[in-house]
Amino acid sequence: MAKNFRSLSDVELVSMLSGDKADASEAFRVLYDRYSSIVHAYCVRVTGDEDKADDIFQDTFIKFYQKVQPDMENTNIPGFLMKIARNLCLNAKRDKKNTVEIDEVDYYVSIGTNYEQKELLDLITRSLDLLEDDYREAFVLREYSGLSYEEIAEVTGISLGNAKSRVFRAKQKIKSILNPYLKDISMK
Amino acid sequence: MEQEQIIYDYIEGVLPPEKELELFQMLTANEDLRAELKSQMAIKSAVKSDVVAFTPKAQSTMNIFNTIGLTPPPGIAPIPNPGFFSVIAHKLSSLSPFFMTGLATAAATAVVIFMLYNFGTFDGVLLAKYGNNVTINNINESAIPVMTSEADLAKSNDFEAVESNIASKSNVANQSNTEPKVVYKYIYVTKDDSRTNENQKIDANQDNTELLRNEANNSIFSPSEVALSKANLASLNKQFRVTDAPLSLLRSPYGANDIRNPMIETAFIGNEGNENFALEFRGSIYNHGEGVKIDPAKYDMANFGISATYSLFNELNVGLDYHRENFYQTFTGVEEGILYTYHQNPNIETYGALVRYHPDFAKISFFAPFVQLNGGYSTVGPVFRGMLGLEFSMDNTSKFVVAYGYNHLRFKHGGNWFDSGKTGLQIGFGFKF
Repeated sequence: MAKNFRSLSDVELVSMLSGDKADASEAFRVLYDRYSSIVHAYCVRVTGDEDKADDIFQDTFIKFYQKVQPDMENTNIPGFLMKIARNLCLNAKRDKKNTVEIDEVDYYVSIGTNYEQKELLDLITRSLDLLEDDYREAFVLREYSGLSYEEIAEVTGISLGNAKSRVFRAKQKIKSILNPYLKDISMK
Repeated sequence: MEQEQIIYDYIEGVLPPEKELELFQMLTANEDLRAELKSQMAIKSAVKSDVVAFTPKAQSTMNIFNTIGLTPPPGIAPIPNPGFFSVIAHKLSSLSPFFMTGLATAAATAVVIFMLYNFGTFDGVLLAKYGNNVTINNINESAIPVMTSEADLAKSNDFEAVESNIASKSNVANQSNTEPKVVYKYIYVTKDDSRTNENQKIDANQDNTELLRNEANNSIFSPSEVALSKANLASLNKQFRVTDAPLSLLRSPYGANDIRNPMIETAFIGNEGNENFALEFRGSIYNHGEGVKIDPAKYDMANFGISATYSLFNELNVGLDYHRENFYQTFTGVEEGILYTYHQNPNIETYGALVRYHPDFAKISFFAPFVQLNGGYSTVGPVFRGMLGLEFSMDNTSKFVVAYGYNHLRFKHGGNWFDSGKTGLQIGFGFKF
C-alpha cells in the first residue's frame, strides 16, 4: 500500500531520508514542497539579489540534506532550514555588500496581480532595502517566512521580546517610508 | 503605539478574543485607526503576492535534487542551458538604467561624430580641390596617373556588347565611320562657386560637365584627375554643357569647398506602449561602393527623411515616409556614335511606405532589434530599402535608433533601366505620441 507522505510530520519525513532511496526522494520532495517557498522568500528579500538568493537557496537545501539526522526528533525543521539559510546569507554578505535590483520584480510578477498591489509590493521591496539588516530580517522572517516570534528568536538568537520588538519596529519603519502611498490607499 | 500593536496582533491572529471587541469599538470611533488597519492589510496582502520571492526557479529545484542524488519532483522538466542571447539579456537587464542611458548616449554621440567626419570620401578630396581650383595650375599632365580600371572595363567584352547593342538600337553606330569611342562623362550637380574665381577660364555654363576622350595616343587619364584640371578640359574640343545631359537633374546648391558630407538626420520614432503614432526622421552616412567619382552634394537638409508610423501590432509598425537624399547614379548612353558613361550624384526626393518588425523574442532589456522594409517612388524612379537595426528605449516616450541598410534605386535613361545601390549607417532618436 502506497504511503501518503504528505500526511507525515516533518520529523517522520526526516527519519526516512536515510532509508530507501525511493522513500527518501519522496520524503525530501514533501519537505521541499513545504518549505522551499519560505526559504526562497527569505533568501531573496534578505539578500536583495535574486541570483545570489538562488545560490543560497540551493545550498540551504543541499546542506540541510547533508546535515539532517534521522534522530532529530525535537528539531523544528523550518527553523533548522532558516538557520542554515541565515548563516549562508551572512556569509554571502560578508563577501559582498548586497544590492537590490528592484526592476527585476516587474518582470516576474504574474499577470493577474492587481496593479496597486504590485506597485505597493515594489515600494515594500524598496523599503526593505532601506531597513537595517536586523529589522529587514525580522520582517522577512515574520511576514515572508511566517515564523512565529519564538521561531524568529530561535533562528536569530535573540530573546522573544527582542524578536517582537524588531518585527514591530520594522513594520513601523516600512509604514513610515510608505506613508504617502498608504494614505492614498486608506482614502479609498 | 498601543493601538497599532493591537492592530498588528489582530492581523496576525494573536489578539486575544476579549480584546477584539475593544478593537472593533475603537475602529468604529476612530477614522485614523481604520486607515491604519487598511494600510496594514494592504502591506500584508502585497507581501503575499510577492511571486518572485515565494517561487523558487525550476532550475534551482533541479540542481538541488541532482546534487543530492534524489529524484526531482515530477513536472519539472530539465531546463536547457540559457543561450547566448539569454545570458546577454540577463546581464543587460541587471545593469542600471542610468548606466544604460549613458551608454546609449555615448554610442549615439560616437555615431554622430563618425557621420560628421566623413572618412574617406572616395575621390571627394580631388573634387573638393576641383571646386577650389587650388591646384589647377599645378597639374602636370605627365604626372596624372593612367586610368586603369575604367579603361579595362571599356575594353572588356561586356562593355563592348553593351556598346554595340545600344548602337544598333539607335543606328547611330551605322552612321559613323569611326569606331565608337569610349567616353566618360561626368555631370556635376553643383552651385557654381567657381564663377567668381578670377582664375577660372572656363565658361561657367560648361563648368558642370567634363569629358574625357580616349585619344589615339592612348593617353587615358584618371577621370577625377582630369576633372581636376581645367587646363586639360579647355584643350578639348568637345565639351558638353549641362543642358546636354540626357537626364533631368535635381539641381542642388552646395558648398564645393567642404569635402565633408555629413548626413545627419534626427528620428522621432514610436512603436511601443500606448503611443501608437510616431514621427520619424533618419540620418545616414552612405557608401555607394566602388567606382564613385563624384562627392555627394552637401547643403542644408540634403538628406532629410520624415516618417509617420503607426503601431499596428506589438511587433509590427507601418508608416509613410518622405526622403531627400543623395543617390549616386552611373548609366550609359550613346551620343553621336560615342558610348558615354555618365556619373551623377543628384539629390532626389522619395515618397514611400515602410514596414518595421520588432520580434519579441529578440528583445534584450531596453534593446529591440528590428527589420525594416521600405518601398517608394522617387523623382527619378522606384526606391527600395531594407535595413537591420536596433532601437534603445527606456520608456514609452523616446528612443535611440541605429540601423544599417541597403537602398536601391531604379531609374530610366534613354529607354533603358539602370540600377544604383548604396548602403548606409543610420542613426536617430524619436518620440512617440
